[in-house]
This record gives sequence, structure tokens and C-alpha cells, in this order.
Amino acid sequence: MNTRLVFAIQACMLLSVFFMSGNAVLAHHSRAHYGQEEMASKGIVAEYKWRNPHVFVVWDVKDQTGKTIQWVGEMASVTSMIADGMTKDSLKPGDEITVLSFPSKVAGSTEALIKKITKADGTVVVDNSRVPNLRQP
Amino acid sequence: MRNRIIVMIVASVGLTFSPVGLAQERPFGRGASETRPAQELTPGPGWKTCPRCTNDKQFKAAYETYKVEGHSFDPHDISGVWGNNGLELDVKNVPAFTPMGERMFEETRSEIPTTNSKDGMLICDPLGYPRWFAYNYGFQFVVLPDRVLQFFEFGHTWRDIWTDGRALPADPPQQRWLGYAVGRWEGDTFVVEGSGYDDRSWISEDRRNRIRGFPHTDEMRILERYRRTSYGTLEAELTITDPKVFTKPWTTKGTVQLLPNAELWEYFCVPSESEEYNKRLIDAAKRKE
Repeated sequence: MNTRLVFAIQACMLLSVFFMSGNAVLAHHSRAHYGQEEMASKGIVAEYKWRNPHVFVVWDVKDQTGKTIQWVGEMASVTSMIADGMTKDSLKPGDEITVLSFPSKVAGSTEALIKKITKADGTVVVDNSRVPNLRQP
Repeated sequence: MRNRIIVMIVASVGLTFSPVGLAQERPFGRGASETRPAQELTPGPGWKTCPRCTNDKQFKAAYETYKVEGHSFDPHDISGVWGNNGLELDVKNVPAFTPMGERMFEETRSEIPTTNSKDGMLICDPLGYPRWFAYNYGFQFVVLPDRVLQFFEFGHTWRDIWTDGRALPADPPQQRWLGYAVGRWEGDTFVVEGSGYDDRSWISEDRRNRIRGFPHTDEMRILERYRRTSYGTLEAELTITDPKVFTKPWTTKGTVQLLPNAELWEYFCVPSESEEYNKRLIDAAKRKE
């Protein structure tokens, strides 16, 4: 089969998947206050709120001076997070985690929209890296 | 061969934008999360997952398990758990506002530039109708001899659509968040007419820019048309008329998919939970803007 035609078919399939997967809004609330810049931080879970309207995690991060900064990061509703593979037992206080998130646009903010959480043993707790509209309002 | 390939390309693109393609994927539009499991989470053996808990892998598996494709059906039986994304209103075709509608729309604008601070949902006000339907947590029709019940997972509430021949109240003693609704069959289409809606609710948040919402008055009327075109597919059309707010009716059409693997769980908007969320995430953003 002609290589260019094979490529065209594959491109169409990929485009189909892209458009079909991005048609819904996933959040209750506006997310416009979160920035576009991703932040990676390593810390210890202080609270895991398996609650609506949005599940959120509080984690403690030590800065270069040794001072502890507490971050609060939200995801989506409980049922949406179940679809993404999370459960009420996914995290517990004391867990060491690495969080990839979009912090609020406001300088000095310690609130963020969570994209990915990985435990110290490498277990991926949640990964919305491929959600195209994750931080859209 | 070349013609066959061209057909495949056209079919692929066509599927993407066709109602069928959107109908299958739209309810699961959270996108392809890397951690979505193939196994459904249920409360235990014999229990089913919830509409919104279902991801696209599980949805596709359920359609095979329950043999949805080609399954026989009665077009006058619309019972079942449907969709987990409601039917989002067609915000690309919002009619022009009347001057009064424009003023009301502007009054819904948030005090801050990024968050929907005037949305009653933040403090667990009822979403009202049609917002409860347009919202995205699935619903269930239960058909009874004198009415059709429509249950919503979000808010864990329901409305009665009376089919016993009664007329809509001309001057109801109380406006309701869910209004008053009567239904009848026109051929294979279930037609629902509604009125008497409480004007404190929004028709919907404005998904083009979520710092606003679409308002309505107590003169709003809603005409809904449902047609089961296959065992797994329900066509839905919703027309909102409110001459004080819009210069012409606003119609949304779409399809909603059956969720044979799901049953409604509960999603209450709990004031204490929302208060904590608002305090720790929404209010924090407000203070700093």
C-alpha cells in the first residue's frame, strides 16, 4: 500500500480520537485561575479529601531553606476520579508523592490543579497527561 | 484499492463529527486518562458502577457484555440509565438576547475575572431545569402508567413528567426549580412540555466562559422530544423559549447513550463539603486576584 496513503489514514484516525476525546467539559467550576505552567513538586501527603465537588490533596513541600510550604491541589469529582482509576484509598497522610500540577496564576499562590501524582515507589496514582482540556475553564 | 482507502479516510473523519461518533465518545469526554482502569469499580458483587464512574474502556466492554448492538427494543420504553454527560446545551447557537436578557446575562457575571462566583451551585442551590439535565452525571427514566420519572444522579433528585392527560398549570401556586412537566407520545417520540420554572436557577453555566450563566424568567417554557432509535441510543431535542430573555427559541439536539453497566449512585451537593472546597480553593484564588 502506498506509504503516504497509510500515513493519511493513520493521521485521520489520530485526529478522530483527538476530537472525539475532547468534547466535554470535566469540571464543575471554572479553572481559569490556574496557569499554563506546570510545576513538579515532591512532598508528603497531609490530607486526602475524597470529597465532592472536587477531590483535593494537601501536601507539604520543603523549600531550599528547609521551610515547609503547604500546597492544596484539586482534581475533579469523586466519580470522575473513579473513572480515572482513583479510589478512597489511593492516598493516605504520610505518603511521599511527586505531584505534577498547574499552580494558580497568582504569584505566591499555593493552590494548584493536579495533573499527575506518583508515589515514591513509582506507582502512578493518577495521570491525566492526555486529557486535552484539563485546565480549560 | 485507492478508492477503498479514500472511503476509509472519509468514513474515519465522518465518524468523528457524526452524531454517532460524538454520541459514543461524548459521554466519556474526560479524555484518555493514562490511569483509567479496564475493571469497573462497584460497591460489591451484584452492584453496578455509576454513570460518571465509567470510562470509555469500560463502556465499550459493557456494550459487548450486554449485547447492546442489535438488541431488540420497544421504542415506547425509554427506561434505563442514560449518559453521564447529560446533554450539554448548544452554546454555539445561543440566540441573541433581548435588552432585558442582555442585562440579566450581565448580572450573572462574576465579581472576579476567573471564577464563577455568582453560581448558586457553589453554595449547593438546586441546579433547576434544564441545568440538571444538561449537567453531566447521568439520569434514569422510569416509565409508570401515569407518569415518567426522570432521576438525576447529581443532586440525587427527580422530576415527574405526567402522562395522565393533565394540562400544564396556567398559573401555578409555586414556581419550581424543576418546573411542571407533562408528556405524550407522538408516534415513537416522547414529547415533554414544561413551564413554571423558578427564575433563581440558570439555564446553564456559560461553557464558553464560565464566569457567567444563562438566565431565564418564570415565563420560560421547555419543549423536549425523545426518540429511542436503538436499544442503546436516545435522541434528544430540547427547545427553550423565553421571549423576555431570548429573541428566538434556543434548540439543542443530540444523542444520549444507554449505560447498561451503571446504576445511579448518589451525588448530593453537601453544603459543608462545598464550603470547605470554596474556602480552600475558590476563596483562596479570590483573595489573591
